Amino acid sequence: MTGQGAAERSRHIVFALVWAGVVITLVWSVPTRMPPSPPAQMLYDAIEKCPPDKLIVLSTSWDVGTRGENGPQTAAIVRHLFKSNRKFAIFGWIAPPGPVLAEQIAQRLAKQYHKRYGVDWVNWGYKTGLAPMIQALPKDVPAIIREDLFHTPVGRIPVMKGVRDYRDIAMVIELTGTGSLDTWIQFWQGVYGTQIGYACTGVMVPEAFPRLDAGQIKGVLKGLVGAAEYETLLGVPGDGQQRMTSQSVVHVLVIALILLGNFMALRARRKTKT
Amino acid sequence: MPYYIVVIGAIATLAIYSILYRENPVFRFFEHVFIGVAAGYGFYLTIDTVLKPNWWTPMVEEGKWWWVLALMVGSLFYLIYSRRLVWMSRLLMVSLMALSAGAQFKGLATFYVPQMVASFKPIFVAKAPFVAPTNLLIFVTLVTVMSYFFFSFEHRHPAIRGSAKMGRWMLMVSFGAIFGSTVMGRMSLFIDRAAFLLFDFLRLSPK
Amino acid sequence: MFGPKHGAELWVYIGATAAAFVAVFAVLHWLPVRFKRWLVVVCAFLGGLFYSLEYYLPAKHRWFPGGENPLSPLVIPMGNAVAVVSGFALALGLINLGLVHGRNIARARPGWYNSVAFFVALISMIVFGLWQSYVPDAARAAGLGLSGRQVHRVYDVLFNGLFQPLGATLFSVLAFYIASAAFRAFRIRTAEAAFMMVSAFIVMLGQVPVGQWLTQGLPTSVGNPLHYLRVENAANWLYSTWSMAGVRAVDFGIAVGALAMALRVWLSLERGSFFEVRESKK
Repeated sequence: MTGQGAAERSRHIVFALVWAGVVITLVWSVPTRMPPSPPAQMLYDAIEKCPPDKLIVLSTSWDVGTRGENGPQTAAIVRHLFKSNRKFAIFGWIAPPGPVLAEQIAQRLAKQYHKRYGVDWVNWGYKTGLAPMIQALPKDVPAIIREDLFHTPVGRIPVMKGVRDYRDIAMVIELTGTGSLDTWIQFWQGVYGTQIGYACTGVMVPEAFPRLDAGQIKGVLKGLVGAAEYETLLGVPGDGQQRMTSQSVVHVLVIALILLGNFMALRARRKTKT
Repeated sequence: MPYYIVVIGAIATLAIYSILYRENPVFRFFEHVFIGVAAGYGFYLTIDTVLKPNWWTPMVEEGKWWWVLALMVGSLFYLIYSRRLVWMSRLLMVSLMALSAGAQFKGLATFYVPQMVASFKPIFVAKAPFVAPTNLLIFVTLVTVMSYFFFSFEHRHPAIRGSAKMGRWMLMVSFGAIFGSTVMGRMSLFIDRAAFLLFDFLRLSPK
Repeated sequence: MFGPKHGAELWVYIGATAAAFVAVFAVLHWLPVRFKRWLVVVCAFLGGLFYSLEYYLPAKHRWFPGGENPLSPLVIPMGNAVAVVSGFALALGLINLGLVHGRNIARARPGWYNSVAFFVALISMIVFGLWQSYVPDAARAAGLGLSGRQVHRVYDVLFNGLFQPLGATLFSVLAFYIASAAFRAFRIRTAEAAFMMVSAFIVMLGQVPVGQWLTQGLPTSVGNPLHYLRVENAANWLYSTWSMAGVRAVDFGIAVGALAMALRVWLSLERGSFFEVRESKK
């Protein structure tokens, strides 16, 4: 019982430390400019090189659970697209709320940049069908998408004028917390050579690098840090930079907890031996 | 967003965080509410964005009567609940799985072959002396980790055993990177919720 | 005969097609089990053949009728069909959930009121979601006693007030368990574990400002080898070389396994209750 009580107390102390560390550093925070890493710079450059008359597809395969990372990434990329007057389409095929959450971000930023739905961007909404649907999409976009999130036939949306197939799409940027990137590589980049960008949660970052090394993706945003790096490139601070201090504190806390836990375990083992 | 919705969201957030103290009925209640809204949302959105525009509209408004076959084929899924007719649901599910399997063969060519090609890096690079040892490290890591995962034969020969052992060590670096990235990812999610509670709910501003 | 129809003729065709489908499957159902097994095997084989043949056959060849790959024009209709058929599976999960929670309520198990909350949340989301999608006109909604604005408000509460915060919070709870596990469970007992932890520490420090502050005194110019000792550069180097190679090797292993599994499914070599057609139990 004593052991259980001590274990529960130590658990609660750890939880309280995490709360305190994050809350204090959020309230007393300074937006931190993060020097862009090479993968973030590569993604930025790839978007800058996209022809302005072609559409960029933001595949928002993220759910409410990964909003803390994919949300700031989506905001940073949408901000870049608005700033550079590039037209884009929001699209979802893995997580049903993805396009709606991305649309909330786009609507909020559109006011700052005086952009209009239907003219500067479109939301294709969520479509099921997984790999077979993604495979069919590059051959005839209007036939697969049919109508946007607001039930308007895509043929009537100005920004979709002239968008027929993969040749009218400059780049696909997959924003996700799942392993959905490989489908785009298999059926778009590998077959038609379409450029793919990637903005993933922290958990997926190590898996992005083999694809980046093989040239299958043009750049990577690594979780919240990637969003902060992108905001540095854009010169506009956002949630990513705002939260970097808190991110620092919790990383240091986890390292300290690992070291402390090992030190205490070592001391206990030595006591038992003597 | 209207403030009353923020208040409801804050109550829901704190109710879930109550599990950190201990198991309690408030957490269980909101957990069930979440399952309900999430399931309902998926259902409504599938009708709204897939079935209505891609099935109902072509069938009823455009007169493409053959789309009723999609309904008939799709309803085979539900025969999984019938012991006598379950084979029909298997027919459909195995066909869909086989379609994806066929796509896998395509994926081998379009996805993995470029990765294999990219693995062959020059080990002797005259003008960039730091690149060569890095490429050698990549090659050694790749080969030894792959040898670690060869389970088709026993690791008897000292060369294979040594290679597999080295592969384990090399894999530790990847696992460390995965662990570090996971910590980064999960902490970001909590920071987002804390920001919601502080800035949207309590209406504090960063100092 | 096979063109689009309208009006009553459309519904006649729809009914006749549905009846024909049911009749075909009724006939198939009364066949012996070994024919049903063959049917599953043939369907699996044809399904697997479609995408792989469409890719591996050339786009144009004189042997093809019309000179072009005959499977390529079918990719779009197939994609659409799979999307729609997959969409019809939407109620499968709901049926299971409904059965589990329905039983909780019927048998008044402890916590049955949570199951009531589940049903209320589920039905509200479906009703108000479809309503706000298809009845946006405030006047029409007013005829049913609710203004269009009220319908949107309820949906707003459900989506922005409950769904988003609850989903985000449930995932974020893991952050605490990681911190707790870091203190209580992560023990560096072997040299390999120490190696792993060093790599993890470099990656964790390299991603955040405090780590960059620690090594800020080191040179930044790419030509200087010491610049790799800056923790952010060390982390990037680890990600893009050493870790990348290990993950790629694991990916290759997964690829071989996935290919073997895909072959087994395609050729119906997979065994187990899911893949086999057995005599039905009466």
